[in-house]
Amino acid sequence: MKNNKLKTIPLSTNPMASLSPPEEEAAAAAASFHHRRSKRYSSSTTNGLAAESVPDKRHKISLPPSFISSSEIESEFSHHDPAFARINNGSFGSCPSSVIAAQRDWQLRFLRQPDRFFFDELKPNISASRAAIKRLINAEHDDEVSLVDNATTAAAIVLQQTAWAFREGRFDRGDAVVMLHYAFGSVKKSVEAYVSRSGGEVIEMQLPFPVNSAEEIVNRFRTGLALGKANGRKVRLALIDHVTSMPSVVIPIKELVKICREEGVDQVFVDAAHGIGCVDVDMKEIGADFYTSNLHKWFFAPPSVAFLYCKRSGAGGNLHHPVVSHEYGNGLAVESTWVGTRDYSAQLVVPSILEFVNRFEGGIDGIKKRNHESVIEMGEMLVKSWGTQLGCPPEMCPSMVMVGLPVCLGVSSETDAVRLRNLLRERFSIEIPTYFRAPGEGETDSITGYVRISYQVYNKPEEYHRLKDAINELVRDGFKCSSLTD
Amino acid sequence: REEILIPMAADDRRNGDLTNHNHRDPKKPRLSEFLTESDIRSEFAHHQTGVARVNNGSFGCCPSSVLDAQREWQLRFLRQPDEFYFNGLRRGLLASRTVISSLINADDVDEVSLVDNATTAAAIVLQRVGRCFSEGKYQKEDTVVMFHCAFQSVKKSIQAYVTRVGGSTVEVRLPFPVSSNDEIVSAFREGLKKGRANGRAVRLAIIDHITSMPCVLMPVRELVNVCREEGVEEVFVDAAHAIGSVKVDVKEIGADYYVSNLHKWFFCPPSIAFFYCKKRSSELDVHHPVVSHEFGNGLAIESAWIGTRDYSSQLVVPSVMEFVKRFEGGIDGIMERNHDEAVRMGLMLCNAWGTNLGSPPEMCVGMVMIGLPSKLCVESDEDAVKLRSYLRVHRLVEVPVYFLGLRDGEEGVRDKDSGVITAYVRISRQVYNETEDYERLRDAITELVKDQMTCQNLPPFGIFRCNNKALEEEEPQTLAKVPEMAEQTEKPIRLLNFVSEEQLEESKKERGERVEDGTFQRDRALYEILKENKDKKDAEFNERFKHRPPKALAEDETEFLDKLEMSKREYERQLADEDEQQIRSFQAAVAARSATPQEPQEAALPPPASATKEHKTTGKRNSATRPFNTIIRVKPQLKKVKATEEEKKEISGPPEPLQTGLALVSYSDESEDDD
Repeated sequence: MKNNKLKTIPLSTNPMASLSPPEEEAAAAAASFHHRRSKRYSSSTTNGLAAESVPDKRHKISLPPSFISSSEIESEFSHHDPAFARINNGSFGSCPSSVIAAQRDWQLRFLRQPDRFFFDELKPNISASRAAIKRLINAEHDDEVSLVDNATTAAAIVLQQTAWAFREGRFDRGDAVVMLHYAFGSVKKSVEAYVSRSGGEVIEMQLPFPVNSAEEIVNRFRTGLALGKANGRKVRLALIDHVTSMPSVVIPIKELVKICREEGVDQVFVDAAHGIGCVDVDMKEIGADFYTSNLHKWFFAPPSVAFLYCKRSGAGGNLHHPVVSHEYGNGLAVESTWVGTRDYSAQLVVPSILEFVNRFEGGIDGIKKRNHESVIEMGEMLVKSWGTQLGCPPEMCPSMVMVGLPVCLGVSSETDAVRLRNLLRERFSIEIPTYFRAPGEGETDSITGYVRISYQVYNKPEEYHRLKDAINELVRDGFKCSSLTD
Repeated sequence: REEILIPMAADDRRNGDLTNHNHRDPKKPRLSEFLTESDIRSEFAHHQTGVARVNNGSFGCCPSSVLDAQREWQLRFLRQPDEFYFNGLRRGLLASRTVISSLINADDVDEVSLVDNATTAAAIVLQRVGRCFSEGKYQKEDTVVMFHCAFQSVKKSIQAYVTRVGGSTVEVRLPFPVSSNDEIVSAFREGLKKGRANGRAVRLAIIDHITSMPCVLMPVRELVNVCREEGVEEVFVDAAHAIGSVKVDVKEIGADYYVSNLHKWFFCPPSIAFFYCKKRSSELDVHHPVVSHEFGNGLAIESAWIGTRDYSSQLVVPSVMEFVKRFEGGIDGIMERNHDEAVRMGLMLCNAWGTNLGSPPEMCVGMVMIGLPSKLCVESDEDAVKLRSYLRVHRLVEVPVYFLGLRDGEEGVRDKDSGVITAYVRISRQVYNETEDYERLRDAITELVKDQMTCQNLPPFGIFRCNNKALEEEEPQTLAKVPEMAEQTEKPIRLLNFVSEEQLEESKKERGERVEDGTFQRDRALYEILKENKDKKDAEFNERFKHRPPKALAEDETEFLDKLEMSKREYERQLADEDEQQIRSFQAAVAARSATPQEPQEAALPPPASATKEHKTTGKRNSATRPFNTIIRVKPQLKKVKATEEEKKEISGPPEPLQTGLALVSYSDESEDDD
């Protein structure tokens, strides 16, 4: 009985209930699949669930009597297209319906009496979100944490500050900004728009892929820095990803920040678009000047909210939000609280997200750990079946893994990769990003195509098996990417 | 001029219609496919009940059919984000841009970008100007000319992007109260002259289409022409309030940049604004400050992807068009009626208070500035904030108050008590507003004056906050008030000593010839009547107030900051808890409503329960409302005198938790009524 009750509550409060699958269907689905994690959440998916309460396990009093069950997870994500194997959480993240409902509440509160909402409620509640994040990331002060739309916005904020330093002569023309070659496309463009244009020299560091060890990356980084410092140039900013997006690799960020300090780099900006909920994020341990992470990718926030951490002792005082309001000059955290009338609801749901993740064993850390373990397991299953290899050793994978595609598919350009992705979406209903790796000189028969699989709480092993079978079918049919057109 | 003739035709039809009506229903449609009043009520059922929301200008409004459309878009993203990103988003944004581009008469859809709000657009323009300064294209000391009452965010953007790199600014004082366009134009010419002094070049002029506070419809086309004559390099029209409020024809206006929010007067959810860049400008280098991989592909494309975020509010423009089509005359009809009603209500108020309008009717939109009685003694911005809070908390009226400081040597406009008018309220009129809303404002102010209350003896802000719950508690009370007010409105005496209903209607009939000067002048005849009645005052305007500057702008945002600083944390939390519960029941009500497709007619009437309540409480309330001090100062007393019989019993217990319960009770009552 309890199971049913638990299940219906989220559905009924969910304004999108009409789009969720009928309850019987959901229940049937819940019973039909064998979820490898289901044991962790519940002993079974039947009504016997209630018996499996976990009073003995350590958790706060605010937690529900038992951890979330797999059928509850299904219902939390029932707005996902059921036809699709969505193994690409890394691109756009996901948001459970309880959080969406909380967001709607906030939206309604605004619409109900906007003046009062803005006068009385907005700022303190954004502060509450910031305080929650501050604790999560182990920052020193609340005002080190600003909420912005996404990592792209955060990059614009940091790089604008760099641009000002160049323009106003605090940095000399030709001083260097170093970044990884695999930095996100938007960030690269932002560097172009703000830094190159103001007279900064941009140095991209090539990283190896596939990667065998963290040392490879550390060594390359040292070489890159040396290049940046050539001819007495100063390196003003190092822009480092915490988890590169494509190809996806966890960068040994603590070592790199340390090296930057040793080498006298002025500022370190860590772009962790995939950071929180995906890797360990501890500001004091990492020690960067600026650190940004999206919350809508791996932290179950609706689109979109990201935090930008600015070390208090650093250059944070010069940071400004590019959209300037009357709050200008009151510190970035306050400036970001008001960038004109807009929908701030995504920034207000952080406490609701914490409630959601605390329904899982171990909270967000537990989720992270299990996602990582699962994605490695799935990745290894795939490479075993396809006879390929992972893009990096398991300890360098977050909740995403690069999995080599069979060479015989003949992925020989980025266009091929995109077309293959479209094919998988359209013919096999699999959502997965693909990656083309140009073979190095003299390489023959090396793996040129990779897929990036993600694992998030709503994923099930079947979805990865579907991918496995789809690729195997293509291989069996003698498929070549060259046969694809748009 | 076709653009202007078309609404005119619609106008005539409506005016003919209007004469057959009694004074209260200009928006009542004749044809069945148009929204009825109860349709409208149900479209805005999510608005806090019991609050006279006569402040559409600050945050706008969004009907539930548009909200539903927005949710659909949000769901589409959440359902399968990759697919949506690759196949849905751009197409959807383009559809919205196409609608807007034909609405504003742009040459090409590429001239129209969608951004969050006017603040964002200002950042885009000023960032560009800043780059020109720092890259040496503009000389240090070259100027940006703007009006003194430009939006605070715009001023700060100038500080952040322009003065920081050596540009200078000239602020033109907007005359207020203002009686003609010429006053504004000549003040602006002066400003440009100042900007060009010492051989400097005016690189940018920022012109508001409708200033926010004080609110005046500006002769924007003339001002742009002046800029062209004077060789201003670029003109940026900040029209935060424009679309849905005045006819926008970007070609006719002729500015280089034009931005208008769609969430203020165009029924969009927060937030969306269109930013028009004359095509020529797209070759210039205008970029979105948040840079994505689309950098360099033109502003419209850049703005269409600035990282993962919720673009849903930008996708609902076609749904908004559906919504406005359900009104007679579409958005033009809405605009007309909002203007007419706002002016009518404005006249009603200044007639009752013995004060003046801040600008003549043809320089008003759906917003009108009305002088407050001098007896209220509004002497500072703080007083204005205080009065506004008082009205919100104790009178359930949401209206912004503007303090107008006198400069040296100025005498000011005097009201009927021969005191100087130092403050104005800005009323807005949108489709959901009713005459009662303005009557409540009228009565609140009249009663304050009668009780000899001034801003000085209004309770301090902190006490307001503690009394904020009154908002919920008083709801049954306000419901009970409604029948009483309805009675009052039936008496057509309100406007008699100023301008009568007959005169108004007559003037509307006569109206028609429109001076096509970019300001979309309206109500010529009405204005003339007004003018006759106000000859003396007009003379005063001309003589004394030609160069009266508006006080430094204290817009909503600034107030927002101030007030929050004053707020107490603990109280916030309390408030939040209460609201959470309310919202739940409120949502349930909304859900229930959407389950019932047609809103029953009875919903329009006050519930029988509250009618009986009213019966019980009338005597008490009347005796209670008169001695004002007791009401505002001491919360428990307020509750005692205002509570109904049953409520009283509950209240006598421990106050705090019960109050929450009460609020809930009052809400579920309403939701039942709706079913």
